[in-house]
Amino acid sequence: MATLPVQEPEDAYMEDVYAPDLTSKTSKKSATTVVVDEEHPFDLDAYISNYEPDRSAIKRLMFIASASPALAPQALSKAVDYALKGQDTQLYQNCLSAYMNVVGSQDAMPVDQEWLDKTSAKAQADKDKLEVELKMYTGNMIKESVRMGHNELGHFYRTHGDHATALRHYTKSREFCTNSTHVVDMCLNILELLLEEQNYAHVSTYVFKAEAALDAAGPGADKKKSASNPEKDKVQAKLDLAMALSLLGQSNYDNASWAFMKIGKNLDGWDRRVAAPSDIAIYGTMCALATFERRQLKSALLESESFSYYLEQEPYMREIIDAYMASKFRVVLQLLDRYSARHLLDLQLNQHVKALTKMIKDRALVLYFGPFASIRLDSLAEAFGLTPEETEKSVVTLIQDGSIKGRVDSHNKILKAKDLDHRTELFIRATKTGQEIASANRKLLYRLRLQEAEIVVKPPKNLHLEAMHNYPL
Amino acid sequence: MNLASLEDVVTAATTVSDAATLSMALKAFLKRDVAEPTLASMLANDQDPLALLNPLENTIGYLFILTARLEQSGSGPGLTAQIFSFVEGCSTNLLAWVPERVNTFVSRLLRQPNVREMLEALAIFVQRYPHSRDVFTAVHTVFLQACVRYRVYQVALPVLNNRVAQIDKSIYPITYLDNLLYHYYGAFAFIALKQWADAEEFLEMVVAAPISSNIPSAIQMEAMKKLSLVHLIRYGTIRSLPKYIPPLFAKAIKQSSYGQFAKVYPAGQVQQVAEKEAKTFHADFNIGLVKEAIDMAPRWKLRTLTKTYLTLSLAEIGKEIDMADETILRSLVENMIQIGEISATLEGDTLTFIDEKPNFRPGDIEKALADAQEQCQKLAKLDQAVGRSREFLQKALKDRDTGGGGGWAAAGDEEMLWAEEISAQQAYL
Repeated sequence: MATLPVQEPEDAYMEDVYAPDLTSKTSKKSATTVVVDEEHPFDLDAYISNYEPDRSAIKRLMFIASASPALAPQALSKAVDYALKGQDTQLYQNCLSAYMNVVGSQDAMPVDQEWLDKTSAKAQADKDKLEVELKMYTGNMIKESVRMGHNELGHFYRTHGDHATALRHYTKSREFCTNSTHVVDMCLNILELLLEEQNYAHVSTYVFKAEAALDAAGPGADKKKSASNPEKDKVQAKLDLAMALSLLGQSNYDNASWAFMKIGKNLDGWDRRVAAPSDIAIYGTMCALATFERRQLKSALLESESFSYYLEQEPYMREIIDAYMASKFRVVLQLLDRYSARHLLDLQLNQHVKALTKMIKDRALVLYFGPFASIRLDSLAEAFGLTPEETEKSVVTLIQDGSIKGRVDSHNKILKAKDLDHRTELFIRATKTGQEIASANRKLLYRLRLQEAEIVVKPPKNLHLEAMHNYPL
Repeated sequence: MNLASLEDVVTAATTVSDAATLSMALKAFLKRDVAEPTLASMLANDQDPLALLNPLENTIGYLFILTARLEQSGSGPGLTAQIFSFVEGCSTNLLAWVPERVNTFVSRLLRQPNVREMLEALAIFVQRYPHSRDVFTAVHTVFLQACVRYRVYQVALPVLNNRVAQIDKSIYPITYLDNLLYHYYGAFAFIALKQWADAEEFLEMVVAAPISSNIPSAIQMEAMKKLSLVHLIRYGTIRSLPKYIPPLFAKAIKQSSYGQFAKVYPAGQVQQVAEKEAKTFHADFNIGLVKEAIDMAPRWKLRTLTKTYLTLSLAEIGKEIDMADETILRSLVENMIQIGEISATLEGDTLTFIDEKPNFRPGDIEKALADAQEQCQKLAKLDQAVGRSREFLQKALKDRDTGGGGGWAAAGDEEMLWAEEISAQQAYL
């Protein structure tokens, strides 16, 4: 983990077809540098205090530093502090050099050589010790100890930043799992690692594995129901969170929102390492607003017990939902804009902010226009706090993908709902279907006759061997 | 019956009323070395044997002599007249006895120097030859191939517009290639005449021809390429094919240059992709269709605008469909209004789109109903025929013996599709 790559938003698919290339390029740039000011507040200390000072927190800080130059010195000095609490010398040096680059020479921070020497010596000693132990366990063929040995080594490599080796040890430990609880443990270890790496493609595999193991553990645990259930709930909550994050990471917003709604309250430490409760509130709400129907919002989001708990952590999210439910879309968009700094500076959310905001806006436009027969584009723009040009462009895109059934009077700037004459529509459809079926029938009948007469395309004779060659089965 | 000379042949042709005996005798006569020159010659009294024969009543004799003459002497004005009187007058029932001689007749006809005239004669013959006009014969294919070769598409239209629907292998033997080629060449003709709907149907027939393995015919693949381009021209996008067409065609197209082209059509960089893939298009002889599709692209873009806007100025349209020259744009818009591709009015610089409201007259409805009823009757008849057929009864019997279920599953997709079609038809009614 030498330097963090600048996150490029995956916005290719939402680029407006009609917008010239130039604007999309500039908008890309603005997405990578986030402006924090009075209108777009962001409290770094409050934000980062939600997390344990571990590697993933440092990753968040590094991301903030790369996205917002104004916050970079503060974020990086914090990152250096955090790195000193850890054991990864490489990470410390990276943080420090990044900090130096940003602040220049006058505010330079001295290299803590003593810590460096001490830590790397300790790392070497720990590593040797763990490896010797593992060797010994393997020699003794004690399964449980071998598993623990691999786990320990996995943890060790993880804290020292060697994720590939860590993953290898975690995976290796699988062979020595003797019961399903061990499998669940292994899966959780791997999941935490994958989530830190933001490697979402494989998350679902381990979630399913863990869920299967959890179910297998279920029947046996039934006897001591009261004791085992909270434990199981904890694991389930973690798995749900992992699933939700991976779906979000893969831009599968619809499923992600359902996954976020499911997450239980007790995350057992992951709420300080993987995602803070306020993060869950933000991710879940954004996804839900972007994909849910109004009815679903009410039933799944507002009336969900577990998600309300998360919503309490981030009061402005509730404000947004309330405004949305009251159809005050202007307020929704204003709030989204106001907190855009918070959203854009979030490591996981950054690349989805633009897409989600656009989806929320589009959905709101469709909702707003629903009851009208015609509406002036000016008043539509007014209701959403957009410019008339923006409004027209959004409306046109929505009409073209079929979300709004209407047409734009570009001359008078009016959006008119399509006036449907059901009788004519029916006639058109009936005659069209009739003709289609008649022609389909004719073609099918002829085909039937061909088959009856066994006039069938046969493969050339010499091709027979070739085909066998191509398809070994 | 033993025929020795032309006189015998003429006598037999006029007197023997049993077609089976006559055709046997004539076929036997053909085995002689001098049969063809003899048949082509004049009678001893220098009389034209064909003058003694009636094309309708003595179809077989007429055919044998006429066919011989095509080969022996070049066709003069007299021969052409005889050919026309034969094709217009011949008896379908009698021709069914001598399919081999018919094939010879057709192939010799096409070797005549005045082939265009001959094609007209053949067009008439093709429609008279089978016992029902919708029966498909190998002559259809030969005829169409020649039409495409000599680029006389208009002549083929009466034949093509009468869709083939039946096959009678016992009288008119055909192979799968005949069927594929007929529709492929038919599509050629329709493409040349820019009758896209018909071209689409014919190409689809080629692609839809039943295949026994996973290996389609090369003709089918070529047809699929053309079909995808015709779809672009007709609908602005590649449509999904009927369910009974194996998915391998759609898959193959998706990965090909045609798929690339369709992906950007009509709003994207159509021209650029076409240039990039030009080599393939040239190699497949599809560059003409591609050009046609490119020409249609602005029209498709404009058509999508009608769904989005009520009014637009020409300048705005130009911006949307990427056409800078206002005079070209104006003439394009005017043309589209004229031929009814868009319903709109152009006043000054403002185009106002009008909602299309087709008027249905009672007559139209009645015609639609009558068509549907006719279809229904046809299907009912077919249903009965299937119900009586040996295969069906055997299967049904087996089905009953095994307690049902299995029989249907074994019957395969075809019947299932068929059942769906029928129920769809009923639902429509």
